[in-house]
Amino acid sequence: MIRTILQRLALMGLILIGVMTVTFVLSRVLPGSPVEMMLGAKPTPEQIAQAEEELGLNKPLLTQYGLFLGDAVRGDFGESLITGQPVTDDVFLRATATLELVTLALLLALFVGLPLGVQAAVKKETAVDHAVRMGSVAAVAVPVFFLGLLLQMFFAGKLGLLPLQGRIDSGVLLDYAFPRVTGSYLIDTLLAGEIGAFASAVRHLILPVLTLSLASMATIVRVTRSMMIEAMQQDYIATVRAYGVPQKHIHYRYALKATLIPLLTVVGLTYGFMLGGSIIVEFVFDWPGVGGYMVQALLNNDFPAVMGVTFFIAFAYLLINLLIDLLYQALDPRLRKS
Amino acid sequence: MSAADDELTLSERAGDLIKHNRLFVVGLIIAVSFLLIALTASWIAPHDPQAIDFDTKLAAPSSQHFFGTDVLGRDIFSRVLHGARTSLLTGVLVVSMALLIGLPVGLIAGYYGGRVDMVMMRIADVFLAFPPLLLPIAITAALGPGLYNALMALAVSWFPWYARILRSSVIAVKEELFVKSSQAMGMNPIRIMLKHVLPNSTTPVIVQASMDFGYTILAAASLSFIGMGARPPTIEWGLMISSSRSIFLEYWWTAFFPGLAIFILVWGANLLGDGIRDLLDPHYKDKR
Repeated sequence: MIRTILQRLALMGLILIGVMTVTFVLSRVLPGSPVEMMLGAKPTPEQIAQAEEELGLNKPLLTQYGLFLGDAVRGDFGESLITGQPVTDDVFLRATATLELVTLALLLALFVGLPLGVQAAVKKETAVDHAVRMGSVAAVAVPVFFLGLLLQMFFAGKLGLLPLQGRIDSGVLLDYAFPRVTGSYLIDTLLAGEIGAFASAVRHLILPVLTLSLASMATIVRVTRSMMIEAMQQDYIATVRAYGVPQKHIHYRYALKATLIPLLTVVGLTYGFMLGGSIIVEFVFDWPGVGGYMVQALLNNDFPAVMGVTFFIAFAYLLINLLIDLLYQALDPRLRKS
Repeated sequence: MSAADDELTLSERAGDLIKHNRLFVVGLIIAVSFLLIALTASWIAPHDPQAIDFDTKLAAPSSQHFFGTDVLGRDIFSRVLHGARTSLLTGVLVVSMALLIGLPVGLIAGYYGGRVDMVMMRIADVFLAFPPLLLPIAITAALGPGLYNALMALAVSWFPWYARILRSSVIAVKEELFVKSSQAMGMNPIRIMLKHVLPNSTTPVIVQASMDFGYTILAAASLSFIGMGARPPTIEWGLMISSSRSIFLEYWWTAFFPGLAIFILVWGANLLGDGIRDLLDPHYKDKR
C-alpha cells in the first residue's frame, strides 16, 4: 500500500511539472503575452523595457523557465495586477467558497443521481426508465450559464423567492458577525450560532448548487443505470433472489454496492467537470470563489492571476483524483497486493 | 441477437435505426434543420441581423419581431438564425482540428510503442490533467480572446482523448496477420500505417467524435459567454446571452431564445451521436 502511494505521488509530481510547464509556455512563449496584456494598447518602449525587467523577461528563456519552476514550487505566482495581492493568497482566500459550492453540488448530484439510476435500471424499458433517460440526455445539453440565468429569472426575478446572486446578504454580515473558522459559511455560521446568517447562506447556495450539479447528475444517472443493469445480471444476484431477499435489499445492498467502486472514477471525473463549470457558475451568480476571480482576471488581462488560478485548479483536480485512486485501491480487495 | 446483427450491412442497420430509434430520428431532424438554417440564414431571416434601430430597442416578441429585439433594436430571431452558422462551424472545426492532431499522435504512439509511445502518452496525460474548460480558457487567455483562438484552444485541449482512443485500437490492429505480412514484405511503415492500420482502427474514434460534437458547441458558447470567444460583430449565441446579462431579468427574451437554440442544437447533436454509436458499434446495444 505504501509503495502504491509513493508511486502515485511520484507520478503526480511528474504530471505537476508538466502542468507547470504548460502554464509557463502559455504565459511566456506564446506571442502577444504578458507585457502587451499588462500595459494595454500603446506602451512606450521604456515602459516595455521596465516591465520586462520586472518580470525577468529579458533573461534567456531557459533561465526564465528555471526561475518560474522554482517560484511555482514555492507557490509563488506573482502578484495580481488588480488586487495587488500575491495570487496565491487571493486563491486561498477564495478557495473555500468554491470548495463549498462544488462539494454540495457533487453531493446533490450523487444523492439524486444514484437512486434515479437504480430505479431506471430495475425498471428497465418501462416509462420510468424512458423518462429518466430522456431527462438525462436533455440535461447534459443545457448550457450551464443558460440554466443559471433561467433559474435566476424564475426564482429570483419572477417569484422573488431566492436571492439573485452573492454568497450572503450584506446586511446579514453586519447584523450577525461570525468569525471565519473554516471558510465555509454554512459551518462558520452554525459554529457561531447565528441561525439568521446560516439561513441566508443556505438561500444563496440553492441556485448555484442546482445549476452546477444538473449536468453531472445526468452523467451519474446514466453510468449508475448501465452498471446496475450489468450487476443485476450476475449470478450472485440470482442467488440472493432465490433466497427470497426483498427486492429493495437486492437493489441497494447487493447490486448497487458492486457499482459503487467503479462509480468512484466517475466521481473523480465529475469533480473535474464541476471545477471547470464553477468558473462559469461563479461568474453567473457573482459567487466570490476562485472561478469568479478567474473570470474577472480574464476580463481585466490580469495575466499572473489567470495562470496562478489555472495551476491551482489543476492541482486541486490532481489531488482529488489521487485521493480517489487510493480510495479505490483500499476499497477493492482485488487491487490490493499481498 | 448480436450474431444476426453482425450479418446486417451498414445501410441495413441504418434503416433499422431510423425505423426503431425515434430519438435518433429526432436528432437527425434537428441537425438537418439547423444545417439548413445555417445555409439559408441570409435568405430566410426576416430582418438584417446587424441592423440597428433604436426606435424598436428591447421590443417584446411580436408578429413583427418573433423573438423580440435586443438593446440596439436588432431582430433577435434573425440573429438566432445567423448564429446557427457560428455554432455549427464551431463544432465541425473543433472536432476536425482535434482529430487532425490526435490521429497522427495516436497512430504513431500505438504503432511504434516503446519509448515513442511513452513520451507521447505522458504529454497527453499532462493535457488531461486539467479539468475540462480550464485549459481552453487558459490557452485562449494566452492567445488573446477571439472565436478562432477559442476554437484552436478547444481543439488543443481535446486532441489527447482521440490520440488515446486511436492508440488503443492501433495496438490491437497491428498484431493482425495482414499487418504482420505487410511488415514481412518490407512495406514502408508509413504506408502500412495509412493503408492497413488506420482504416481498420478508426471506428471507436469516429464514435467518440460524433458524441463530442454537441459538447464542443457547448464549450465554445461558454467561452464566448465569459468574453473569451466570439466578439462583436460576430453573431454567436453565447455572446448574445452574455451581452444581455445585465438586462435579462426585465427583458427575458434577449437571453431566452439564444439559450434555447443552443440547447436544442446540442440536444439534437447528442441524440444523433448516440445513434451513430449504435450504428457503428452494434455490440454497444447489448451492453445498454
